[in-house]
Amino acid sequence: MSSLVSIENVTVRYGRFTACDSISFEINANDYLAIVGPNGSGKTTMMKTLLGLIPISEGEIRFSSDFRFDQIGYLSQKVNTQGKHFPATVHEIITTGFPSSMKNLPIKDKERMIRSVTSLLGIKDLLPIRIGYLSGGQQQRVMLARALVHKPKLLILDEPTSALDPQIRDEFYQLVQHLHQHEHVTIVLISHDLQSVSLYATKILYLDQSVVFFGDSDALCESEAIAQRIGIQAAASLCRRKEHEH
Amino acid sequence: MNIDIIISALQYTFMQRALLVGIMIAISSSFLGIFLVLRRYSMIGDGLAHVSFATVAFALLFQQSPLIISIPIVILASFLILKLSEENRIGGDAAIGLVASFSVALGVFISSLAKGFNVDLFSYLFGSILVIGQSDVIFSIILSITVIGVILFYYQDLFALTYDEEYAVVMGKKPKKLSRILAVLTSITIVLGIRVVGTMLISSLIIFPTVTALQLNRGFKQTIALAIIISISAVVLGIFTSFAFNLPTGSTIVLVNSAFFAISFLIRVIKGGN
Repeated sequence: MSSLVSIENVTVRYGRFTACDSISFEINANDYLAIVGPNGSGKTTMMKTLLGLIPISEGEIRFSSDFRFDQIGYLSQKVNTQGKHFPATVHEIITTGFPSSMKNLPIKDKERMIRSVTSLLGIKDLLPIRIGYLSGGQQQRVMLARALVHKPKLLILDEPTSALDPQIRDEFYQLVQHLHQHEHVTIVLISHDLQSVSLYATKILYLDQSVVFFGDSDALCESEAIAQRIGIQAAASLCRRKEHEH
Repeated sequence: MNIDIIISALQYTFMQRALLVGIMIAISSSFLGIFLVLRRYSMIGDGLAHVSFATVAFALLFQQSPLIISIPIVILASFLILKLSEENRIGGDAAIGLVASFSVALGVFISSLAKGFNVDLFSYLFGSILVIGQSDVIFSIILSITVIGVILFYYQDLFALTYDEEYAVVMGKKPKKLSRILAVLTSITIVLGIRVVGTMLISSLIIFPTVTALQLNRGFKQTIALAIIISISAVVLGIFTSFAFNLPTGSTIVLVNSAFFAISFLIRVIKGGN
């Protein structure tokens, strides 16, 4: 399996506080990697470091030679950052998903890509509507369309379901599963909900400032380190849910 | 105000110049306005207008063209405001306050040094369409077209940055560069506008049309188009009204803008918009 991104001994410090301590892992093509851990464990810092939003104090992040940074799609945990009064239509919001490298792409090609992604996500009819008029679930799909419009190879999702109700949350996870299995998008999902994401993800990275566990999600419930962190009963519940899935 | 007054007004060269310069400034200031208002940078226009007061006083002291002297100094002041805002210890509003109050103090200091140009300085404080010269018209047209052209070129980047700065960075946009471009364009627009509405009122041309258009709940491009129409209407109506009733032009334009805002606000409230 070819490695898209290699994270090697990455340490991130804010002043004297170490948010991520010597973290190493790899993201391979077609992985569905869930980065999990308690609040303040360094998940979001790790994700923002991957996106180039936070500088690395030590270590290195290497992208494979056939992978460009503009092939990343990103879905923030903040849905519609500007609130309901921002004067923009769904169509206008999705256009902000084109990276600078696609600035000179003809408008008709961009329009074709917008139609394609909105059809895939079932929001084509929402294009002329103002973003603020949509429900939370619809806004989340618009943000996902923005993240996917330039056809990224790697999609990074930061706690994407934290503002959604349980039914829409399940629909959203199934949508991401569809993108992974049928559109062959590599997924990195940041979440604090280990029970839910372990059902979908093929790999788990459990962080608590440093790496507690990194490996196949099938091996998660057998990990002593995980059992110590989340408790034996919760680990056993993970194992039962995994067996039920299989 | 009837059609005869409008026709007779258009016979005067100063009215033709005022309309031409006013319309160009109305377009550039309202186009710029949406990015400044939505990024919470509205008051940077007000701060830079205060700086232009000092630069006009400085230019008059040395008998130089206020426009030519003002533009580079106001651009430098806008960079200073951005730099101070980026410092963690100084917020954006405090940075504007520092630069604006220093500039007004400097302007008053300079005007007290050289007695004799206070009447000229007053015309720049509140605007005077009688003093718009041929060179001002050419200068305003060229620079307004430049401002509009640069905004159109960077439109998609500026929109992305305005909606979601973090995402724009991930998509490869350069926020610092774009903020500086906005600062330069704002500086040029402020200096161009002081001839028509004056240093004290120019920021209203940036804020009012955008805020009025925002009440009408449209998309981004439609809001910009509405702001431009509102701004041109306010400037043209203001100039003709001030001619017909012998009123100060700058304040008349701002009062017309205020009336437009009140109407659009009431329409939104009556329609039950939130």
